[in-house]
Amino acid sequence: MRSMRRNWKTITVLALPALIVYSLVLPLPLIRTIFLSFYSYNVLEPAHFIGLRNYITIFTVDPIFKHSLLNTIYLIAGSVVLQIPLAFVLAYWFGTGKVAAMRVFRNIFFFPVVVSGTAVGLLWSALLQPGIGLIDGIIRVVGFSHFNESWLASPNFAIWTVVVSVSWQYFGYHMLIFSSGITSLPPGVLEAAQVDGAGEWRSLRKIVVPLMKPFLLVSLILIISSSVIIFANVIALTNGGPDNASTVVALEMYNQSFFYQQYGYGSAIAVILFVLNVILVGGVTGLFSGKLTRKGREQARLEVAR
Amino acid sequence: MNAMNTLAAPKTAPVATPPGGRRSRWRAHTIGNAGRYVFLIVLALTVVYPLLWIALAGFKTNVAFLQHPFSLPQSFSFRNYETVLVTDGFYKNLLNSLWISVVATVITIALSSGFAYAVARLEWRLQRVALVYVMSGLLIPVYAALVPLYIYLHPISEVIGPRLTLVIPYIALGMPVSVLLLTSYFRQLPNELEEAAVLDGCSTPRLLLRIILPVSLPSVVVAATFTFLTCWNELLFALVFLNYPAEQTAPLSLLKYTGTFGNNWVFELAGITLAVIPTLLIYLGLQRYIMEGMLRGASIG
Repeated sequence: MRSMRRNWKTITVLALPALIVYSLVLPLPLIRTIFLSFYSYNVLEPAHFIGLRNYITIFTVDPIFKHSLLNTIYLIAGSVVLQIPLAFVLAYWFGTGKVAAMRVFRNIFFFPVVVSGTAVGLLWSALLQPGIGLIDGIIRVVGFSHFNESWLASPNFAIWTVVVSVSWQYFGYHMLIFSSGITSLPPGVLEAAQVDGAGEWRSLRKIVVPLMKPFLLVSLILIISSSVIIFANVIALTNGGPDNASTVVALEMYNQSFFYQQYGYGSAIAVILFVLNVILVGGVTGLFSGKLTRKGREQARLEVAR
Repeated sequence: MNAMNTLAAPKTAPVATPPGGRRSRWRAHTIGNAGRYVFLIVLALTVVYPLLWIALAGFKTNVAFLQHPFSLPQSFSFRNYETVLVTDGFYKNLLNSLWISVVATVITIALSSGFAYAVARLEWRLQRVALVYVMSGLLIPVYAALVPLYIYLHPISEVIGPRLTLVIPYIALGMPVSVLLLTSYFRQLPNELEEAAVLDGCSTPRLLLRIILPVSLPSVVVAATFTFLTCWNELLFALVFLNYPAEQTAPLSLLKYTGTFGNNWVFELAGITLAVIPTLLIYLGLQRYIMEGMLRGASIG
């Protein structure tokens, strides 16, 4: 048995193919991206080393990149505000058994998560069409009978249409994460929080929320890392327009690399995308880890014991 | 019982009746309850109604749709759907998506299960390091590898064709989560399974194929569904690798509708509906596997 577990031939046959393929499709190309980002490389001329010039151009000259970075931050912030409280409330209601037909609601809310971002983007572009779209239609029914807003053509609104449509798609995902968190709470916590009336808010805030912190962190990380690479939802809904007002980092990377065929410049944006992900994910993880969580847990335990 | 219960809430104890003021409590409770259901139903409608709206619009003529965008269609004629599927060739795009996603899923599961078995059940130096190395793929935004992959794979694509080439980056999308799911499942398996097989003179790859994988079917299905859906929905790699309409995947083919307003609204809405229907069918059939996969994928992300 031992010899079977240590047979190096078997180990090589089983583990090596995956390691090779994986290395070739992700880590090695990523290293190549980092190298390329220091080059000027496009279809017109052979690649030549230019040091940090791509990065300097991106951060000092390129006005579109600044837009894309800002919009990506808006997207993260907007997603947090729109999705996390809603998802938390839903998970809490479902978790405390306050809702009949809970499974039906939950399955409906989760469905958009599995639909392609392209379909969701196009769906929302239809919903937001002036005149014939559902959103204008509802606003007219509510009372503003001649309402006619070209949401997607407005440089101020365009990025927020992305935020709303993305939140519409993904709040069910965070609801599911929080649901699994609530299931994992120690017994007695929910009963304590569920006492009707004045006590409910307090116990929610003091007991349930602190205990849910690991799951909040998962949600935040997920929002960050999916917002940083968001592409399909944006290209299908606004295509970055009008006039780049709603562009995002991944779309900029695509445009520079494949529309203008500036592979070096596009690679530099890809590196920034990667670093941005690492910094933001590392940042929230740092904020959530250590004392904060431990303190919350102790406090919660005390409150339950009481 | 449905395995969804593992995700769902446990049965909670009944709420104790508060002392005094029972009636007003009850009333407040009922109002609160009603409010909660109104909220949930409105929220459910914001999800369901837009999807229903585009599906119904697909049955209308363009003129009828522009005049009365919110009415029910006068007759259920499948003409638009037929045009999109057959005349515009969207069925080819759906088949491309299916083919690419299935091949990518099969390869990903084959590679991942071998690797996961070696990490979970065999003993070698660096097995932890290897696992962490593959898991680190969860932190790397795959799109950061796009430009070099395009440069490397372009020559390959001229030999094996763009559709099979697209499978290669798709493996990177599915592998970290698949490895994670399978490794944690394999670790829980009892030793007796392998011991009996080894005594019978069964080789390890055979053991994996004949015994371990069938026993681990639930986690294999979760990993496969997750990989399949990720590939089925992917857009950016497809956009870069697939140039001709006949070879495009479904999401990529839909993209031709962006910014085309006016005369082909009903076709666009029929097209979106046709792209959502397969996802809906998969969702209805494999819901608990999908939810578990997404949950496990998220929790280490």
